[in-house]
Amino acid sequence: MILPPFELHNPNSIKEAIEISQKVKNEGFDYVSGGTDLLQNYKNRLNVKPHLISLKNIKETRSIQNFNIGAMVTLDEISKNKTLQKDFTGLVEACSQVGSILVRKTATIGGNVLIDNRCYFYNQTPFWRTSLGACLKAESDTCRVIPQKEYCVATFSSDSAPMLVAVDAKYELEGKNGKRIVESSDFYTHDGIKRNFKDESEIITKIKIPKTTANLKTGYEKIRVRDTFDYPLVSVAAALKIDKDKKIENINIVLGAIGTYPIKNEDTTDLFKGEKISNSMIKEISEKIQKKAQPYNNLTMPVSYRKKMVGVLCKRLLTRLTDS
Amino acid sequence: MSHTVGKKTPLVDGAQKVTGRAVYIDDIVLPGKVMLIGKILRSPFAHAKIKKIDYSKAKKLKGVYAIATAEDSDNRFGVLPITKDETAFAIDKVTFIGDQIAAVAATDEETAIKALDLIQVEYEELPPILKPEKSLAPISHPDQKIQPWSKYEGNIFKTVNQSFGNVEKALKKSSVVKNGKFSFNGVTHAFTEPMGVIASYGSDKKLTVWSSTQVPHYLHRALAEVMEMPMHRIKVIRPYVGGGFGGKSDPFPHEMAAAILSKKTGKPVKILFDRDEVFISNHGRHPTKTEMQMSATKDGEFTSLEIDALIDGGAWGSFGVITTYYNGVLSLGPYKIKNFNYNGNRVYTNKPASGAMRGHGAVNSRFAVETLIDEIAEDIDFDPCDLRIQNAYEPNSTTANGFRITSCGIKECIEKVKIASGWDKKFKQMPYGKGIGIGCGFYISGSALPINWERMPQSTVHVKIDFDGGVTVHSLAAEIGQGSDTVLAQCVGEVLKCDMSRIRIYSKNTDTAPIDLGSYSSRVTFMAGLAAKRAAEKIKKQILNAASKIMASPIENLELKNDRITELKTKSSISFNEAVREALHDSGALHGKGHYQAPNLNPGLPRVDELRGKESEKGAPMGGSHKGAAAGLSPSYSMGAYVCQLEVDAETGLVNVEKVWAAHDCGKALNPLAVEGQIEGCIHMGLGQALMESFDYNRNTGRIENPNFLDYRCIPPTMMPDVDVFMIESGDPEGPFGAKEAGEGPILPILPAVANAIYDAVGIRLRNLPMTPEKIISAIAKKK
Amino acid sequence: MTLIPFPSKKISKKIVEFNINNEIVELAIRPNDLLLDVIRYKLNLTGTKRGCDMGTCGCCTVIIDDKPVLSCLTLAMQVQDKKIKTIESLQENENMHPIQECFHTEGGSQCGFCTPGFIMTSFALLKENKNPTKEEIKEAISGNMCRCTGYIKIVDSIKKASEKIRGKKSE
Ligand SMILES: Cc1cc2nc3c(=O)[nH]c(=O)nc-3n(C[C@H](O)[C@H](O)[C@H](O)COP(=O)(O)OP(=O)(O)OC[C@H]3O[C@@H](n4cnc5c(N)ncnc54)[C@H](O)[C@@H]3O)c2cc1C
Ligand code: FES
Ligand code: FES
Repeated sequence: MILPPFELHNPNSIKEAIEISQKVKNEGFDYVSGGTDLLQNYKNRLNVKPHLISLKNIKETRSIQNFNIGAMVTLDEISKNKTLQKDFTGLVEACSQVGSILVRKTATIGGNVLIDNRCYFYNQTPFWRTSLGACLKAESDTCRVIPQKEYCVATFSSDSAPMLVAVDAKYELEGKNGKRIVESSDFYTHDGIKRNFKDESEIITKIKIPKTTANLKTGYEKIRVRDTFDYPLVSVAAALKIDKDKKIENINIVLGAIGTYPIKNEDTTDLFKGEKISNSMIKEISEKIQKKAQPYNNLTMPVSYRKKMVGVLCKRLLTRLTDS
Repeated sequence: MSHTVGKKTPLVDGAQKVTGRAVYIDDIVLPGKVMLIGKILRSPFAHAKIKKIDYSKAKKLKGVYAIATAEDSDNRFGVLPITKDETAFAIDKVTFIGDQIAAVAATDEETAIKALDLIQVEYEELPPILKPEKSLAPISHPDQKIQPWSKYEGNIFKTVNQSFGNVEKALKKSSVVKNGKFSFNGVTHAFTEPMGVIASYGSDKKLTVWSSTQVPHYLHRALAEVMEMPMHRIKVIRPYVGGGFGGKSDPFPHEMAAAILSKKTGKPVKILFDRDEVFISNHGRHPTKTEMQMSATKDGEFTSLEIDALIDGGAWGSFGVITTYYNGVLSLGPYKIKNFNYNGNRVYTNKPASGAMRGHGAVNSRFAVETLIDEIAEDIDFDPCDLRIQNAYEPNSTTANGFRITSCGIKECIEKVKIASGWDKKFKQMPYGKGIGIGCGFYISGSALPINWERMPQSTVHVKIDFDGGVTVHSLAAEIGQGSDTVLAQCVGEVLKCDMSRIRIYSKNTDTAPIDLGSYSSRVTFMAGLAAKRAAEKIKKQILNAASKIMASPIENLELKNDRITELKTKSSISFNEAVREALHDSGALHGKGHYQAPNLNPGLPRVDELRGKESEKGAPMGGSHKGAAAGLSPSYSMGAYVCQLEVDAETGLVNVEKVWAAHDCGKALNPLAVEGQIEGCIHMGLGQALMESFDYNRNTGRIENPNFLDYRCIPPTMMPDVDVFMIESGDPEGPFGAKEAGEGPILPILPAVANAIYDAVGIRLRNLPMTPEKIISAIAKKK
Repeated sequence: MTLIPFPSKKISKKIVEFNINNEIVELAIRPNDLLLDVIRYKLNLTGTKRGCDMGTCGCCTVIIDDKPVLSCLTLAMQVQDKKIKTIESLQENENMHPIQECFHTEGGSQCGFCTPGFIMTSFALLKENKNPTKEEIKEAISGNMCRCTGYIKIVDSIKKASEKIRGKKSE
C-alpha cells in the first residue's frame, strides 16, 4: 500500500514545529511522532492532510524526569523504567500491553494519549469503505453504528489514557498561544471526531504525573483475545489509596475502550470512600460500574461480552490491588 | 541403514531463506525498468448487473498503458475441469464484493490507483443471496441465479447422497445415539506472503508468467485456455512461495489479468495484492453447517454415522465438488463404522469463493465426529481413548465406502498420547477450569483419481547426472515451505547413497520440469517422492553397470554407499565420480525418469483412463463402484491422535492451551525436522480455527468485515502451547521408503481435542467454531 | 456508493542520507515514501518483506540504531543520518550468522517469508539479552507473525543461537 502524497516537515524544536503549523494551517496538517497510529490511517486514506509535521527530531521531549514523562518517550521505554515500575505500576502495565512489542518500540506516549478513535466501520481500506459508503468519521454523513447519531461514537482505545486519568495526570501543551497545562480528565470529549480539546496547533510536550501517585496502588487490566497485537476490547484502570486500617481514602476507576473517551466513575466510587475494603464491597463496586457501562457496537466483540468484562476486570483489579 | 531418509535434514533451500536471498514474487526485478504495475478494479456490490463500464477517462491518464475488462477475454477456467466457472473479469454481472471487473496497467502504483478511480461502472443492484439455506431453495426469478450460465437449475452447486450399510437397522441395535447441529465459520489460509504475479508477453509471442502458486501446472493449463495459446508457448515460473496451505492452489483471475495486460501492452506487468485483496480472494475453508448423528452399542461398538452438511461455497466452484464429497467420506476412518448416510450440498452464495485449505473438506466434519464420540463415551461410561482404540481399524482393512487402508498406526497413536499425557491421572480429575481432551484424524495421501481424468501420470521426475558429478532433479512439485524440494532430494540421495550436497533441485519452471500436478491434497511426498525414487533407481542402475565394467564384477557384488562403490568380496572400491564418468563416456549425460500413477487397486474394474467421464456407469478404479467412489480414494491414509490440556478462565472465557501431545502416523518420517514442523504448524492453525479465527461476513451486504491481521486473529507466539510430537512410523507398503502424508492430516485432531478438553474443564459443549470467549462464558452461564 | 479517490498533491523529493548495512547512501526520496519501499525497491534489498503493510506481521522488521523497527510504518525521510541494518548484512564471512544458521538447522524457517523479520527481531534481542529464557524469547517475537512453523522451532532456533553466540554447547 502506498501512502497518499503529503509534505513532510522535520522541525528541531517545539517552537519551530508550531511555526510551521501556522504556515500550513490553511492547507491542513497533522503532527506525527511514532507514526504507528497515524500511518495506518493514512494508508487507508483516512483524513489525510497535505502536511505532516514530524516530532521525531525534537530532543526536548524525550526523557523521563521526576514523574514528568516527555511526550516522545516510547512505550517500551516506559515499560522498562525502574522508577515507574515501582511508583506507577499501573502505567507500566498499561503501556506494556499496547499492540505488539515491535509497535511499542516506536510508539510514543504522546501519540498514545492522542490516538485516533477506532470503529469497525472506520478502520477499513478505501475499497471496503467504497463498498458500504463509509461513515461520519470518514467520507459520509451517516453513522453506521447508530444511524441517527449526530456525533461519532468511535471508541477511544488508548491503553495509557485511562490510567493517566485515574491518577489525575496533567498534560503539558504548547501551541500558538503558548504553554498551558490541562487535566487529563477534562481533556477528552464525547465526539469521536473531535476527540479532545487540544487546539490544532498544540503539541503535547509532557505528561505530568502527580507526585502523590507513588503513594497509590495503581493497576491496569485489559481484555483482548490475543495477548499481543490486539487493541483493548475493554479495559479498566484503577488508582487506590488505602490507609493502614484497610479503609479507602481515595479511589478512582476509569474505563477504557468503552466509549469515545476514558470513562470515570466517581459517582459510583465516591460512595465507598472511608469504608473498609472487603470482597463484598469490591463485588458491589464492580457490579455498579458494569451496570453503568454502555459500550457501542463498533468493535469485534459483542457489546454484551464487553459489558460483562467491565465487571470481571474491575473485580479482578481491585482484588489484586487490595491483596498486595 | 538409511543414508538420507529418516535424518533431520535442514531444507535444501533454507540457506537462501535465512539470508534474505530467496527470491519471492515481489523480489523479482526484470532488467531495464520496463515493468508496469497492474491494479484491479473490484466490485463494491455482492450481486449486481454490470450495465456499463466506461474507462475512457482512465485511459487518458498519463502513465496508463492499458485497461482490460471482460471485452478482452471471456474464456472460462477453474481448477476442476468439470466446473470451470471463473473468468478473468466479471461478465455482465458481479457475484461477490471484490469480484474483478477491470484491471489497469500503469507506470507505477499511484497512477494505477488513480486510473481505477476514473473508471465508471454502472450497476443494477440485485439482492444478494448470502445465507446458504436460501441458496438451497428453488429460484423464482432468473436474476436469483448466481451463476446464470451454469448447468445447475438454482444455486445448488453440488449434491452428494451416499448410503452404505443400513443405518436404520443399526440404530435399532444401538443403545446410545448422539446428535448435534454444528456450525463452522469460514477460515482462511493467512499465509504471510500476499499473492502476486508477473506476466511477460514477449516479442517472440511467448508468454512467461511468474506466480506465487502451489499449482504451476494448473495455472499453465488455465493460461493456455484463457489466452488461447498452446501450452508450449507459455512458461510458468514459480518463485519462492511464502506459504500456501491451499490458498494458492487454484488458477486465479489476477493471474489471467496480468497475462492479458502484458499481451496488450507488450510489456511485463506485475500485480501484487494488498493484504485486503488476499482476504477477498479467499478460497479458504468453507463455512459449513453440519448435522450429525452417531450411534453405538453399550459395549462400545460404533454402529452408524449420519451426516448432513450444508456447505457455503461462495460465488465460484473452485475445488467444491471434492469438498462436498470429503465432508462425508473422510469422516469414516479411522473407525470401523459400517452404516453410513451422507447428504451434502454445496451451494453458491454471493461471497468470495471458498476452496481448499489444509485438511480440505475433512476438518469440520472431523470436529463433529470426534466430539460426538466423547459424548458417546460419557454415556456408556467408557474412557474416550479406549473407546476409540476399540473401534479403530487394523492395517489392511477396507472402509464401508470401499477405501483401502494399508498401513494403519492409529491405535499406536492413541496409546502413545494417552500414556505421554498422563491421561489416566488427569481426565475427569482436574480441578474446575482445567481439562484434558483427545481427538483423532484421518486423511488422504494424495488423491488416486487425478483432477483431469487423463492417462497422464500424476508425477514425473527427471534426474540427470553430467561430468561434474552433480545430480540434478527436475520436478514441478511446488516447494511452498513444506519442504518438498528437500524430500525429493532425500529420496534421490537415498537411492544413490551420495552426499546431499551433490543434489540440486529444479522445481520452478514448466519449460524444464516434467509435469507434476502440484502441491495440494498432500500428494507430493507420496507421489513425487515415488517418482523421484524411481528416476534415481534408473540412474543407479546405469552407474552400477559402469562400475561393474571398471571393477569387472557383477552388479550383485557391488554396493553403493557414502559416495563410493565397493566390491563386496574384494573390498576394493571406486568413487561415485569414477563410476559416473565411466557411464558418461561415449554417451553423455545420464538421464533417469520416474513417474507415479495411482494403481488400479480393484482388479476387474476399468482403469482411470478408460473411465473418462463415465464415473457412474462402470464403477471406479479403486474402492467401490458407487457414484463418487473415487472421491477420497487414496493410495494411503495418514492418521493421528492428539491430547490437549488447557485451562479455561470461566469468567472471561479466555482459554489457555497449555500443552499438546501429538502423535501422527506418517508411515515413515523421511525428514523428521519437516514432519515435526508440519505438525506444529498444523496445531497453530487448528488452534486458531478452534478458538479465534473467523471470516466474518456482513449479514446484509456480504462484505468481509475483517480483511486484516488485526481483526482476523491468528494465534501469536505467546499463546502457542508446548507440543510433544510423536512420529509414528507404520511403514507404508507403497509409499516412498514407507512414507505417507504429514502436511494436512495433522490439523484434524487438534480442534476436537480442544473442544473435548473444554468440556472436561468446565462442562460445556460448544458446537460453533470458533469457540470465542464470548460463546464460552455464555455457555457456562446457561449451564448454571 | 461513495468513491474514495486517491488524493492528488504535487510533492518534491529530497535527498536523504543514511547508513545502511555499513554503507552510506544518498537517495532522492519523497515525503510519502515508506522505508520498506525504499529498502526493497530503491536499494533492491529484497530480503526485507512486506506481509501486511499495517504493523501486524513483523515481516518488514529492520534494525535502526540497534532497535527493531517496522519499516512499513516508518517514513523513509526520517532515517536521515541513521544506521540501518537489514537481513542482508548479517552474514559477514563465508559462514552465516549464528542466528541464520540456527533458523536453518533447527527448522525455524519453512516458507521463509517471515524469516528475515524474525531474524532481525532476534538479532536485536540477543544484543540486549545474551541468554534469554523461552518466555523472554516468546515475548520478544510477539510482534512477528509466522503461519508455517507454529513458532516452536523458531523459539528453539533463537535459544540455540544464543547458546552458540555465547560459545556454549547446547544441553
Ligand atoms: C498492530 C498495532 C496494534 C496497536 N495496538 C494498540 C493498543 O493495543 N493500544 C493502543 O493504545 N494503541 C495501539 N496501537 C496504536 C499506536 O501504536 C499506539 O497508540 C501508539 O502509542 C501511538 O503512538 P505514536 O507515537 O505512534 O503516534 P502517532 O501515530 O505518531 O500519532 C497518533 C496521533 O497523535 C498525534 N500526536 C502524536 N504525538 C503528538 C504530540 N506530541 N502532540 C500532539 N499530537 C501528537 C498525531 O497527530 C496523531 O493524530 C496499535 C498500533 C498497531 C500498528
Ligand atoms: S509489513 Fe510491516 S508489519 Fe506487516
Ligand atoms: S516460515 Fe512461513 S510464515 Fe514463517
